[in-house]
Amino acid sequence: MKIVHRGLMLGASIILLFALLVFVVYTVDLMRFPYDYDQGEGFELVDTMYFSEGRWPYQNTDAFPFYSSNYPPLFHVMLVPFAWFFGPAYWYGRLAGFVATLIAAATIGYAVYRDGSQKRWIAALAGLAFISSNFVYHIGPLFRQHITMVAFETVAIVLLAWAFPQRNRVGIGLALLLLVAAGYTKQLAAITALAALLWIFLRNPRRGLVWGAAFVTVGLAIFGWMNVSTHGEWWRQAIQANVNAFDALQAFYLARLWWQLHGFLIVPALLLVLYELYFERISLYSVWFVIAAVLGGIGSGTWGAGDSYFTSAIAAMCILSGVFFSRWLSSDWKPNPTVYQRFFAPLLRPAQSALPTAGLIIVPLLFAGYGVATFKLPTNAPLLRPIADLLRIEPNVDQQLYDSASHNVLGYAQIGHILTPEDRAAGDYIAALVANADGPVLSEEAGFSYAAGREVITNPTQLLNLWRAGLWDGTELIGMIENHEFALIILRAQFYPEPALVAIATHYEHSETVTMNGFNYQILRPRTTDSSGG
Amino acid sequence: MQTEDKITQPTPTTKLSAWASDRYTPSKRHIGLLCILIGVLGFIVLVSLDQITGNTVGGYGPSQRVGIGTMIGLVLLGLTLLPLGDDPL
Repeated sequence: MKIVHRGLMLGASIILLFALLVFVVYTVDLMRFPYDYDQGEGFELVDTMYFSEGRWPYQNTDAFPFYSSNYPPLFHVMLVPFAWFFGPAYWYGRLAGFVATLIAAATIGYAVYRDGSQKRWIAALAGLAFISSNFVYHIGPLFRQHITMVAFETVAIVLLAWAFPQRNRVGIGLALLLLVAAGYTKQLAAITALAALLWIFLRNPRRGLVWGAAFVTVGLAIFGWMNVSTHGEWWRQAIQANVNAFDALQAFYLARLWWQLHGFLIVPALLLVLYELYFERISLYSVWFVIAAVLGGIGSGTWGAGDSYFTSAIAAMCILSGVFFSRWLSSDWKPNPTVYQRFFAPLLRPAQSALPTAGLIIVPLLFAGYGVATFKLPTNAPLLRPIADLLRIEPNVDQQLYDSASHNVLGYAQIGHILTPEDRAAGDYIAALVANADGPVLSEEAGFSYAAGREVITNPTQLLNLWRAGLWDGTELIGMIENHEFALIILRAQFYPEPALVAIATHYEHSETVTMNGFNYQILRPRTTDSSGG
Repeated sequence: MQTEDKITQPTPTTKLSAWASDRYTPSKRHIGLLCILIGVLGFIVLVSLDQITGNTVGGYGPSQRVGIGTMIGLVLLGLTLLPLGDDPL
């Protein structure tokens, strides 16, 4: 039976290691691309450049250059040394996301090893399972702060799960500081912070209150300092403007997709949650998993959110399922003598000897099933094309990509493909248009402006958020549009406030469309005859 | 590394009289009772929400239904925790 187990484990390992290979190929490809791949990356770069110049990116968006960030600063501050040495570039932000993904995966593996009967192989597969997730694959190698937040959260949770029961003050303090760091990387970390504070409070209310008060004090002190330093723009731009509309259908479809892709590990994770609830003590991982899945799932339905909102729950799922498998294979169950234990023990007694043996077969099959369920493969990458041919895998979505999730789910990021030389040429062409423009350029993505050495003007989605929240005064921007002060306007998703779009449609006309990365970029120039009639 | 108590870890107690001590941990029965309390109160509020706001047209909305379902689930969860007695959470 041991030989069969090892063979199956080897099979599962090959599938999950292949997911790691695909992830590496995807990351290397993205690092070589000097423009936005996922919309919004360029503005993370702008934030980094602001910090590298010692300026806050939380500014009054009603005045030129109409720019503000809507994200906390830590991710961008961490990249400042790169900005000093290499100037504005996308590769180091994507590299940071890649490294953060590996840190999160390694921490998951360590947690499974430490808290799950020291099973090295299972621990390694649990870490690889995190990388194999389609949702992690999307967000990991982007110049976005999300996965860095998840890495901070994961390290914090794994440290706190050990330090709090041990009453290790340094460990608890460090874990809570890491949670503060996660929160100042992205606001969504509030969910994980809530889970951690709830767990320590339930573990011991007195100590929970003391540590919770310290945590809140540090968090609020930083918050207050930033708000004063930015003359209130931190509050307006990063908090008020981030309250977006909720679409229940998007949340539902994404939750269903999360289940369809990750069900092989969600079920074991849930079984461990139930076991802990009724037979042992509740672990921090269980509280984190449930709260991150429920609140992250609800949050995924807000405008601008998406599948990435499940990544914290996926990290918790990998830890819980890994611990469950390790304990199963080691028969490491020590249920408390409760009424349920007395009820179930006689029922399970006949199967007691067969269960560990069954685990030898079922555990690797579940990992393998998960690897197949989350399978994705860009079929046009030089290194992967022969494998796609060998496995006879055809693209099932646009852009030469096979994605087990398909791209039919509302809110699911339609990325993951490998870029082509044509994409690069299209980006260079748009950048050349910007460089040769006879005046400032309003571009919906920042990469073209950087490539052309031009100033970045506006952060469209932020203006849209502010407009929807009734916090935007577009008089100056609309005036510039009406006066044809922009030599070029580049639109992609048209995520500007409606009044700005109306002004653009009225005073600018379509010049050409350039397709890059599967998206159509509309190039607009001032109308020779104004359609406003005035 | 420093520890609050390097020599021995205090044994947790679930006695409510010790709620302010650093040994206290809520029992599963206490948490069960709390779940039932929140579930019942939440259920009453959600069911009577339309009466309170005067918006009685169209019956319960989707969010209201999800909320009511969650409250019922919370009560059921609480009931299953009650037999666990003084087992620490």
